[in-house]
Amino acid sequence: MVQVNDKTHVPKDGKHDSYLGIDVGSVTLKFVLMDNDQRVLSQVFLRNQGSPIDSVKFGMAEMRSQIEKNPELQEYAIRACGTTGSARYLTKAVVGGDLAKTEIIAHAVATQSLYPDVRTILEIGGQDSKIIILRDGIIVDFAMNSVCAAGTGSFLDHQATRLNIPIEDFGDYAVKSKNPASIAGRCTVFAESDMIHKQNSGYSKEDIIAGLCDSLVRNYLNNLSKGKDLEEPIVFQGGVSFNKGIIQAFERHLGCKITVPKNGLNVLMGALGMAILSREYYINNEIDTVFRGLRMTDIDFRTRTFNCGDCPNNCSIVECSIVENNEVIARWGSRCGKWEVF
Amino acid sequence: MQSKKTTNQRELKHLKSALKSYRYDKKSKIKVGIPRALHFYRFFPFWKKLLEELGCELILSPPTYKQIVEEGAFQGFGELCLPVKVYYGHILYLMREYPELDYIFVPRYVSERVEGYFCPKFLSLPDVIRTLPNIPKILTFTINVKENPISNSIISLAKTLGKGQREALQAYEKAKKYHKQYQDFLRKGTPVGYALKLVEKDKPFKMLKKKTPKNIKFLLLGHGYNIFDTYVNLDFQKKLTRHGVDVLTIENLPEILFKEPVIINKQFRPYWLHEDEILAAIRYYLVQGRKEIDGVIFLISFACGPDSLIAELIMRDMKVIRLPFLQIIMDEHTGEAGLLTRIESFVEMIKRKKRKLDEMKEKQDLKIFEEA
Repeated sequence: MVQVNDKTHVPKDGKHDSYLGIDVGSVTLKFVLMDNDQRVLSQVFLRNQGSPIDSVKFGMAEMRSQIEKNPELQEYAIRACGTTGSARYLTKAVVGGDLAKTEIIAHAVATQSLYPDVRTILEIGGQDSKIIILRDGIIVDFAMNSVCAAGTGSFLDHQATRLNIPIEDFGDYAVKSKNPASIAGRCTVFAESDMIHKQNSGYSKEDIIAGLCDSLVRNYLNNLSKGKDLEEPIVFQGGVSFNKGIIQAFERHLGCKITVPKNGLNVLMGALGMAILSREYYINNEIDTVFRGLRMTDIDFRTRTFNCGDCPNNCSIVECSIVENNEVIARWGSRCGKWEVF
Repeated sequence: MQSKKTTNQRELKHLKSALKSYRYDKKSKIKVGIPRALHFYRFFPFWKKLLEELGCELILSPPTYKQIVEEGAFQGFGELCLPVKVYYGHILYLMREYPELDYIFVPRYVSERVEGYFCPKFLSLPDVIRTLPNIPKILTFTINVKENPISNSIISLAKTLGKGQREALQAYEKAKKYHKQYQDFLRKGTPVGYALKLVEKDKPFKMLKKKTPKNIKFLLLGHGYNIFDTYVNLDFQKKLTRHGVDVLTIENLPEILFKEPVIINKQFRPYWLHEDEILAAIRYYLVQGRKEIDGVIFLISFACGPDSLIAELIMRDMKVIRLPFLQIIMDEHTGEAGLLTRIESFVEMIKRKKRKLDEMKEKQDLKIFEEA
C-alpha cells in the first residue's frame, strides 16, 4: 500500500535542506538535487521513456537509487520541488511540484548563478532553441524558434543515424574538417537533400558534418538573433552544446569566445535553475512542500482524453488522475477554462 | 458511437440557442447577414445603426468556432491570411444556416483617409466573395474618400435597399453619431469585446465596474480581428489577465495621438491605415508615454504583409527605448503550449525585472538614509 502523502524517502526532518529541479524536455529529462550552497548533490540525465509520466518515474527511480546508495545524501530533506520544460505542468501535477516556470526563466537563473556577468545565453535543445539576452543581471529579451525545428538536436540526431556515426562523436568529425562543405541551412528538408547530394558526389564525412554544423549555426542566428545584440560573455548550453563542431561554428560566426558550462552542467541548466527557484520560493514563502516524495514511483497515474462537447469547439480535454483513489490531479485543454484543475 | 451522438446533439442544441440570440428584430423585411470577422471588429456599430435605419434585419454569424475556421481554410486558397480564411468560414456559415437571407453584407473599404489605404485584401473583398458558389446577393458599398465622400457611397447603398437620398443621409448621420459614441466609450478604457456585446444587444454604453489596476500593463497591438477573435488567438487576452496583466489596445488610447501623420523617413511613407494607427500609438510610447506601460505585444497573423513590415520598425524602436517587445505570429495552429511558454516567459521576465529594480531602489534609499 502506497501512502500518497508519504512525503519523501529522505527523512522529512533531515539535517540539511535540499531542493529538487526537474526539466522534462522534448527528448531528454533532467533532475538536479541541490543544497543550500547551490552544490549539485545528485543529478539524472536520461532520454525520455515514452510518456512524460513514465519518464519522470524512471528518473525519480534513478535518483532514489542514487540516494539509497549514498548515506550522506540521506541526511538531506527535499524542501521544495520545481518543474520546467514543455511538460512542466503535467510533471508538476505528477510529482507534486511547488512551482512550474518556463525554460527561459529557469535557464537564465541557472546561468546567472554560475556566470553572474553573462549577457547572452544560447540554448539549443532537442526540439527547440532559444536565445536570452541579459543586461546587468536582468533578462531583457528572449526569442524562441517558431514553427521550424531546423537546427535543433533532433535533426542532428537524425543525420547522425543516417551517416552511421554515434551522435557523441559528431563534433569530433566536424573539428577534423579542413574544408567544410557548404550546406543549405534554411530548412532541414533542403539541408538533408543537399547533404545527400554532397555525399554522393564524394565529399568526406568530416567536411559534410562541418558544413552541416555551420549551416545550423547560420540558421539559428538568422532565426533567433534578428535585431538582437549578442554581447560577450556568451554562454552556450543545451544538449547540442556537447557538439564541438557547433561551438566552433558559433565562435567563427560571432567572432568571440563561447563558454560552455562544464561537468555535464550544460544540459542540466534548466533543472538547476528550477532547483534554485525552488529554494528562492521556499525561503520567501516558508511553505510546506506538496512534493509526493521519491516514492511517487510506486503510484500509478492514468491519463485520458475526452471531448467536452458542450459547445461547438468540442475541445479535447486531458485528465490525469491517480489510479488508486481516482483523484484527479490535473485537467486542462478547454478554451473556456471550465474543466481546469491545476 | 453513443458518445459521438450525444456530442452532436449537444452541438446542435448549442447552435440552435446561438441562432436565437443572433437574430434581430424579425418584423423588418430585408434580411442581411453580417459575418463576424475582419472589419466587423472595427465598424460593426456603424453598420448596425446604418443598416437598421435603412430598414434591414441583421443576422450575425456566431463567434468563430472550430468548424468555421476549418471550412474557411478549406474554401480559401493557400495564399490568404488566416483572418480572410476565417471570413470565408463566417460567410459559409451564414449561407448554410440562413438560406433565407436576402443579402450578405460585404463592404469594400478602400480608404478612410485621403493619404492611406486599407490592406489589398479589403479592397477586393466583395469581388473575391462573389466567386463562392451559390452565394446570395451581396450588399456592398465602397468607402473610398480619395474619390467619393462617404455619404455618396451610402446613398447608393440605400438605393439598392429601395430607400431615397434623404433617408440615406439621415441614417448616415445617426450611424456616424452612434459610432462616435462607441469610440468615446472605448477611449474611457472599455475592452472592445465588452463594448461590442453591448452594441449587439442594443444596450446603453455603461461602464464596467472599475477593477483595481494590476501591477503590470501591456499595450497589445494588432488588427482587431486578431486581438478580439478569441478563438483565433486562443483567448490571448484572458491568458494575460490570468497572469496579472492589464491590457490596453489601440482603441483605448486618446484620439489626439492619431491626429498627426506618422513620418518614418523621406523614402518610406506609411501607407496602410491600420498600420499607421499602430505606429502612431507607438510614437506616443516612445517619448511621453514611456513609463506608462511595461511591455508591448504585437499579434500578427501569418502572411500579413503590412504587419510584418512595421513589426520590424517597432522592434527597432523598442530596442532604442528598451521597452520589452514580444511579437507573436498566429496561424491555424491550435497548440497552446508554445503560446503559453512565450506569454509566461514574457510576463515573468517583466515581473523579475520590476522586482529587481525595486530592490535596487530600496538599497539606494537605504544608503541615502544611512549617509544622512
